[in-house]
Amino acid sequence: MLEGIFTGFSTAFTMANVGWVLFGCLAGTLIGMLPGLGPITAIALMIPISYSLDPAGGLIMMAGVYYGAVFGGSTSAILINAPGVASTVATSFDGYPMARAGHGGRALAIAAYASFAGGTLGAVALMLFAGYLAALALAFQSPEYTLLLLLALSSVVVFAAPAARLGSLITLLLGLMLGTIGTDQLAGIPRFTFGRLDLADGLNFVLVVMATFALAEAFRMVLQDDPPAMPDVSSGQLRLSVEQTRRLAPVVGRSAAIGFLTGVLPGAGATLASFFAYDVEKRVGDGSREAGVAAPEAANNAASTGSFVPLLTLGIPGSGTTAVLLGVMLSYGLQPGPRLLSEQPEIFWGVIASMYLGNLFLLALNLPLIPVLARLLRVRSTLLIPLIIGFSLVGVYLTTLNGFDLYLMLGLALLALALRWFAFPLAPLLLGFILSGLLEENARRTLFIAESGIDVLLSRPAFLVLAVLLALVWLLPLWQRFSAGRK
Amino acid sequence: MGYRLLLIALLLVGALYTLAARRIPMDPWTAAELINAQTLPTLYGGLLILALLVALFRPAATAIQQSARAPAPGGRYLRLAGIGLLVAAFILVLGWLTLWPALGLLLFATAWWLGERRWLPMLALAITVPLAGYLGIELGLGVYLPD
Repeated sequence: MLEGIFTGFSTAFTMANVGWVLFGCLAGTLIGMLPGLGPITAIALMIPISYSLDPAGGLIMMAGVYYGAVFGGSTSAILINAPGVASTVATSFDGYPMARAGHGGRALAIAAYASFAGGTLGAVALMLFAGYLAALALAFQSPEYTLLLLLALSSVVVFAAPAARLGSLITLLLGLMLGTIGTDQLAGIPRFTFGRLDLADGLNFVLVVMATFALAEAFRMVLQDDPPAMPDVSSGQLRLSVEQTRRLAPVVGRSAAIGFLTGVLPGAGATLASFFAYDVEKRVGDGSREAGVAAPEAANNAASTGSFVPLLTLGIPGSGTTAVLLGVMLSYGLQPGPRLLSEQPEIFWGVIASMYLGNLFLLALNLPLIPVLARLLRVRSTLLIPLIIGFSLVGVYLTTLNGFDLYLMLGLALLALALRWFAFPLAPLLLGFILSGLLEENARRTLFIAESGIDVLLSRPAFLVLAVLLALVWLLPLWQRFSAGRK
Repeated sequence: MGYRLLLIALLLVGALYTLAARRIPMDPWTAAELINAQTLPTLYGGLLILALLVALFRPAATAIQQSARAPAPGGRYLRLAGIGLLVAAFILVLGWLTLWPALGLLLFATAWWLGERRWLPMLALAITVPLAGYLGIELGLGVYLPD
């Protein structure tokens, strides 16, 4: 493992890659800070740039964009009560009242330090456990992967809020359906192509990501009112006293642990982690507003790092953002999963090592820049919307060089807008779209194996463990309903 | 668009998709497989129809979706339609004008349509972004673009 860590740092610490992490963090912060634009949109907008880099550099830059966008999202949540993504909603509960009371700078500083600590603790945990999990995953074959994929897809629905489960299921199924467009990989049969060659290879994933997140978000901004005015942030507020740091350290430690463990679970992700940590802090902590900002921020950053565990070690994305990163990796010809560690350790460990760099840059550069960056929130929507539309169209055109894809993108963006307008979550759609092909391929292989007898599957311990886990996940809503009925 | 109208539109999409899935042409060997080219699409389509029917007839199951948004003011739908037309026009002229000039026009026209009337920011947006794209992406990163 030590050799791997050394390889990772030597990959991440080249001048070029340090520059790309820095660029990614800044770009991610800028985009994530804009209301409504979260990590998925930020990553989607940067995909065309990443294609011009080598795989290690591209993924390291994307990881920087991810952390930057998570960090940037908390700024709009605190300053204008406009959390761009669900994972920063909990931050706004106490962060926005602090900003309204004139303590916006302090809230931002707490968010930045908690993010740094949460992200760094998460990176340490990832470094310690990723290698072991990858070694274990080498024994996984199609039957286990089928169950893992079903587990990831089911978790997205089951771990959603009870009132949002049906909405998540609907968008997940839409994503799975979009993933079936194109030539069937095993039989070579065209499906849903309507005789068009443009559809023979299926929908391009950049197209789907840009349409459902970037372009649909720009359209939503056209329909919605402008964000409220933003309070001023002076740089003098961006420091914490020793006493404050001492008081918040255990909060950050607890929340980072909660965040990392929640982030590892497929489908759970940063949103669940941030609410969970906030709730725990309100129950066991001192209940202060500072702790209310620190807890969700440490948790969502640790969860973002934790979500890399299933992606890098098993090749299974646990969230919409890591699903996009999986798409980027597949575009590079990389196969994330246990073999990535043995065949391309410089990429596996390089991405992990870049997390330290990313967190450091976020703290060292972004915090002092917050008063400047926060002015971005004042950019008029009349200029911001054309920029988002232009970037997303150019991003898809540079990837596919096909005008027909842009029409598809427009149609898909309008569908996504309608779904988004009624609060249907779109991350399950993305996850379903990206995992659709993998699920079908592995399910067919599994049934091929099972033709020689079901006992072949039942004799595999990992298969049995995953089957039990899957059954538990499916039973969870029933158990919740039963226990609620008893109360 | 009303919430129920969206569900009905999705239901129609689900039904058409399922119908198309049942008509995917297959050779006898593929058809004999337990999971063939039709199986999962048919399953997805069927499940979607089922989920949408539940959403339609059990309103409590999608309480979040139903209470999500009040309709936007009428004028804003017109603005959105205009943006859609501008994007379609951009795609149409892309082949003649090439990417960067078409992008400049799109940025300018979209900003104007959204109500921006300050010439300096509009021109800055329409000139600097395509220029930066041309210099950075086409020349700097060497990304190939068709003429």
